[in-house]
Amino acid sequence: MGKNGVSREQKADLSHLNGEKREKNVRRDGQMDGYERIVSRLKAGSRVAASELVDVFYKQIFIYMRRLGHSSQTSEDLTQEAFLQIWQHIGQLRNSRALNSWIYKVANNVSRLYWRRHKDKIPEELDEKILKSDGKSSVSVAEENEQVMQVKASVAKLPLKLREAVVLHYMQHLTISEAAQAMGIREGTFKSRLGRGLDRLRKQIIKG
Amino acid sequence: MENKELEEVLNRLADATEENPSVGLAEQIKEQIPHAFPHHRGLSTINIMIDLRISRLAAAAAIIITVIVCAGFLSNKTGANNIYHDSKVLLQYWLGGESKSGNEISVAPSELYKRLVPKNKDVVYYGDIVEPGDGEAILMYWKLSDGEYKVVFGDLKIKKCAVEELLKLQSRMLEKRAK
Repeated sequence: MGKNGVSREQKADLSHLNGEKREKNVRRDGQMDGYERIVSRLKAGSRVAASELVDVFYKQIFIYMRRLGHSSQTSEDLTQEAFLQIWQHIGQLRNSRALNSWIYKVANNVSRLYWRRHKDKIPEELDEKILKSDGKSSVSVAEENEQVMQVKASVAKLPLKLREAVVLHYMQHLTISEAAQAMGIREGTFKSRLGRGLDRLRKQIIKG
Repeated sequence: MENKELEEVLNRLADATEENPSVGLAEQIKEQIPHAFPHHRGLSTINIMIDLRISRLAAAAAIIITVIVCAGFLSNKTGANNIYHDSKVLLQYWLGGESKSGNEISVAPSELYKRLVPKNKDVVYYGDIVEPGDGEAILMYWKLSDGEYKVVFGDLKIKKCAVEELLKLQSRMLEKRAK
């Protein structure tokens, strides 16, 4: 039974939701409950819960650091640093259901501190895998790959705040609300940054 | 390129740039898990500001105002009056210009008296019999080098006057006290 006496099944039956959204919401509710449990165990001092948290988030944080332009080694170091900060400040987390955005917020702060201390560093582009053809013609696949490469190069050139917004929402798949919380800004401000990020990407792609 | 197209490419980019960290990173992180997690939860002002998502400027202003108000409550009555009075003078000056506050001083009367005495100003001080805010009563006065007198009234207005006027003010004050 979830909050307000509405069970997960009842929530899923709401007629105005289509099937995919229903599943997503059910999954998200389950995820939130899981976060609450893990946070309460962490605050109680459970090292097992901490270990589980690492298993759930370490890859996400690593790839997030890579997508922000840090090198592979630096991303690993920053991931470790992020977790050290998480252990240090887990007591400050008031809303356990916002664990995801809080962890990204910590990671974001660690990343920004690194950029501040290493102003001479240039963001690195990620290595991309060749995308599968999925039944498409080789010409289409080649065109798609070229588009991806162009966008990849353009994302690396974005100013930091716009890059963070684009990566958080489109590549880390955070919702607008979660991503705004992760960046410590209002949703409206986040949407504005996202819009500006997309505009810049488009202009850079046109420039070639 | 339309927004939707660009968003699709970004999603494809996410798939194309999935990367695994080196083997053993998770274990390294787990080795650093502390034996006890610090308890930071509290009613610290900064945490409340962060939770309320107030901007940094607003948070700084709120903290400064809180400190001033607390200082006003905790300090003695004169100190509290000073903070209030100074703020009032500042606001009047800000809104109305210098002329609005030209005759007012923003120093506690007793502090002014303490400052004047070491300078060998022969200050006559009536602080123990004058009510704060009484604009007709003389709080203190001293003689100036040109022979006139500087008079500070109970409402902290300052006036320069000749000895005759000072005598009139003093007699008026004494008559009022006698009643």
